[in-house]
Amino acid sequence: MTLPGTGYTDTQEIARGLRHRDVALLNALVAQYQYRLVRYLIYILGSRDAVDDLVQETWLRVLERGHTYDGRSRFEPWLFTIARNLAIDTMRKRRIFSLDATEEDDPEQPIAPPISSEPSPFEQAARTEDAHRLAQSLATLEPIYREALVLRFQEDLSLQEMAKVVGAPVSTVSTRIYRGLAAVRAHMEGAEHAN
Amino acid sequence: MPIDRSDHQSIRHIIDKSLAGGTRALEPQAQQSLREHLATCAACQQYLDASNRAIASLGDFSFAIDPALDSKVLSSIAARAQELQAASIQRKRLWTTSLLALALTVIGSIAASQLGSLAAPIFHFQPAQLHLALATFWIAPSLCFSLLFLLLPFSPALFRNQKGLSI
Repeated sequence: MTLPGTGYTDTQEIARGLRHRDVALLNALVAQYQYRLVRYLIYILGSRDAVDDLVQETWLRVLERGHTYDGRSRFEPWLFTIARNLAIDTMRKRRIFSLDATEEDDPEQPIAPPISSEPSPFEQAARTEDAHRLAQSLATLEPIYREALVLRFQEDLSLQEMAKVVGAPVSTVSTRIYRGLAAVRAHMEGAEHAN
Repeated sequence: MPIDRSDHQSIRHIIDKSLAGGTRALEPQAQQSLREHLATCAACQQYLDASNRAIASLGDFSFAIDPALDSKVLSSIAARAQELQAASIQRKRLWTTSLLALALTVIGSIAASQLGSLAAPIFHFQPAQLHLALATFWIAPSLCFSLLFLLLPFSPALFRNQKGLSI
């Protein structure tokens, strides 16, 4: 992977640039990862509220703590870890459901987010009929399962990378993927039969 | 002969495992069992197809991004980088000043001690008395003053920017 306009070609070079607080590198990273960061935060929060502020705060944190990225692993998991921690702080302040507390409560009973009359960001972003069906399921799915789906199937993170991002064992990550997939699959099958 | 329900469950677990971790997550024997079962079981094949369809649909979303977000982020990064750079320069200056003050304290103390030893007989003092006075009224305060520069970065009043945010 080469970051456009910088010549940086690997994670070690990104790490070196972050240690020196290379603004040109950061600009290139923003261009490269902005959409994926926005998508990830939408999946965690389930809404567009606060996403833009969190995106800005994430990049500032990348600038301030760039020296903690050692370049031995991919940049994406490190970036998403920062974004996740900021999102958790935001949710705690707003007293929204936690990304980590639900499984201890009752893993068989997903806690639904507050119902809003506004179309969810997933419904607004859906581009196909299947996506529209999926959007309804995603809007009501627990954040930890949504997060597992986007990290595994959109960001293509390995189970080990996902475990580092969410701070949970690989077995927990796998379970979240199974449950998330089961929920969206069941919803799509139900919607298909209804049609 | 009807297939044992547990076979379907174990096959579907294999399907979930392969989707979660990729086909590399499956042992060759599990892959073989999966292929053989799917060749004859329409229900499990449908399960796999529905899963793949759900996964594929995850890629059919396009989230709109505020066009102003990029420029907002880039300008905040540039501003913050300048603040951090200024703070770094200031910290280096403090370290340099502190080391210089420390060096002057040591040099001055040695010089004062030498002069004191020469002057003590003239004023009828014991050299030890003069050295004690030197240590109490010169060396200790000078040392504290030069070490003060090292503590200044931790002073909240001095190292907050105009908005009251820590640098």
